[in-house]
Amino acid sequence: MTDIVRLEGVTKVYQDGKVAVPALRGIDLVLQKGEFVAVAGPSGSGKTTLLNIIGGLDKPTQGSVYLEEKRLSAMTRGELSRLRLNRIGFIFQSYNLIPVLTAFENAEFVLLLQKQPAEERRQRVGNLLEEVGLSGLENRFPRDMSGGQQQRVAIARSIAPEPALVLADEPTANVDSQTASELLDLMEKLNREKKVTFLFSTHDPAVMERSRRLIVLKDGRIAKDTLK
Amino acid sequence: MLIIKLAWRNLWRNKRRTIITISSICFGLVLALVFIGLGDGTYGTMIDSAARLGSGHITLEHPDYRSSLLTRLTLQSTGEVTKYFKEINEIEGWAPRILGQAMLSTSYGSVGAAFIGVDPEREKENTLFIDKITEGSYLEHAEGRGVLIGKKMAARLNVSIGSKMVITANNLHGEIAAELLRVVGIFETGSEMIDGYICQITLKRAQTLLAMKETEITQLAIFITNQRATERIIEHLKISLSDANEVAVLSWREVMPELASYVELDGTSNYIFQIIIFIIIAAGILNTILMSVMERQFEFGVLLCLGMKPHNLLFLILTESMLLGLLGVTVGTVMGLLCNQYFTVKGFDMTLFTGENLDISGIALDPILYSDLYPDHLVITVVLVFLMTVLVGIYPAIKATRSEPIETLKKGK
Repeated sequence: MTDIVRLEGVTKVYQDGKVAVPALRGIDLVLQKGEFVAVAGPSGSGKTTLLNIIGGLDKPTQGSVYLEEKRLSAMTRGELSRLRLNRIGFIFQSYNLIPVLTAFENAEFVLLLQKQPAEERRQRVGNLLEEVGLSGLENRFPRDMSGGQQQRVAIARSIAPEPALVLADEPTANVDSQTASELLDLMEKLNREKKVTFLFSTHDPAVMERSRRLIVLKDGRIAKDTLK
Repeated sequence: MLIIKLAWRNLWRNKRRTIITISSICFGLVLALVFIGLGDGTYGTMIDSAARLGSGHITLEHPDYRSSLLTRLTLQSTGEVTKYFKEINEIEGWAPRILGQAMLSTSYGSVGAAFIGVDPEREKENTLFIDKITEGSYLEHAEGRGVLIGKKMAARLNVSIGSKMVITANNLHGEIAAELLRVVGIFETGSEMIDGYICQITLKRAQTLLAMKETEITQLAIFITNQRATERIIEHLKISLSDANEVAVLSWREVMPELASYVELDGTSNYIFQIIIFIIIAAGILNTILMSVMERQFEFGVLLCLGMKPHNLLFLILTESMLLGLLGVTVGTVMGLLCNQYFTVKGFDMTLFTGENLDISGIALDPILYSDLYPDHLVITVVLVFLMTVLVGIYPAIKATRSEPIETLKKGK
């Protein structure tokens, strides 16, 4: 299998005034194409920091991060921006859809930034919204959709550009268990059928249960890495 | 297209704030256009009135006359000069004049005066004195002994229509010469200086008084249809008259430097006032855009996270400013033009502040000011206001693009 992500001795220390607060301590990790991985751990264990560093949003204090064998710390702001645009999909806990765009336009947004042709965009987004179960809701604005529906749009947006990796920060934290289960079904299906690599952080035992690889963080270190 | 769509929809997320901002741009522009329109109208009227009551928009005279005011410095054979006027469409008329200082005497007393010798037929087409006559009529016969005087001078000399008076002046030979005159008309311009000091007699009478030849005059006053064309016509005339040694071509600015200074000074103070208004409005717009940017920091973090490039974000916020400016400027221009149209027709009544007589820099003005917004002033003001709204958007836009997505996402959590 191909390595998508590789972390070598990644340490992240935040400075809180004069106090150094370590968030990650020497993480070594490899994610391979098509994996469906959950990162779990108590609050403050470093889950979000790990996702941010892999997504090129934050820089490690020490160590190296590689995405498809490209070293992120060697990249400029513009190169990181291009990398996020073309190779990484993001799903946020609170959906973070653009409030003035419809479901279709939100899902289409990244493709527009990529300057994909109109016909290609229309077709790809139309199919995706059908796949995530939002047919007929294309013209709704986020304010007119439930949390579950908004997160489905966010999932469609994240996979529309066919990224190498989707990073999801507690994607089911704001929805009820029934919706959470449906969202997981959807992500699993996309992982299985489209071979999209998912890495998501979670607190939810039900979500951990559904992952095929579970990484448990404790005090910024990998306490457990289980392949199911 | 995406950026424009996003910017447009972002504007209407907070309708009230957007409408207030557009209104303030609109208000500033309307205020500026009304002030500029009234200024253009007033200055235009002042210049035109002064030119038609005085030495024309353009004055031809002996090159040394202005510095010495010597009566012997005359223009000769003006027929050679006036033939060039036909080439210029904007010239609507011209009038030969003889100017001098004299003493006017009646049995009641004597006063010092400035006299203007005029050709009544030519003057009738251009002078404003005719409109200002309150008693009697304008000079009729070219060879006659009629005199037109101001109301204040008439009171000082205790004369009325038909009264006789004697004009005494030094002629070209240095001798004291006198002519008998009869009052044919009394005018009132509202200007203390004109009504109390100026009189008009016929050109022939002035030539006789000063012992001048028939072909000699002091100046040739040229009247044009649009005072803004003065400098262009002067350039044209200077080229046409380049062979004539004894002719100076002067604009109203050189003949009436006090008026030119007043127009310039008042215009400058108007601009300063407008700049202050613009700065106040710009601060309001800056506040609005900055607030809307600060409120959306988290959203900008998400956009950057999704791969939007910082320059696209900069363009998004600048587009919002541009759209705000475009809306404000469009509505403001329409409203500003409507207000100007109102003041062009109805005028702005200044009598509340000035009384019935408005005299600026010795020029009697109608106390109802009429607007006449020049097209180039309209375009410059509109473009400036639009640029100001775009400029004001630059700081918030740069501020938004400098934010690190991770920081803004953390703050938003």
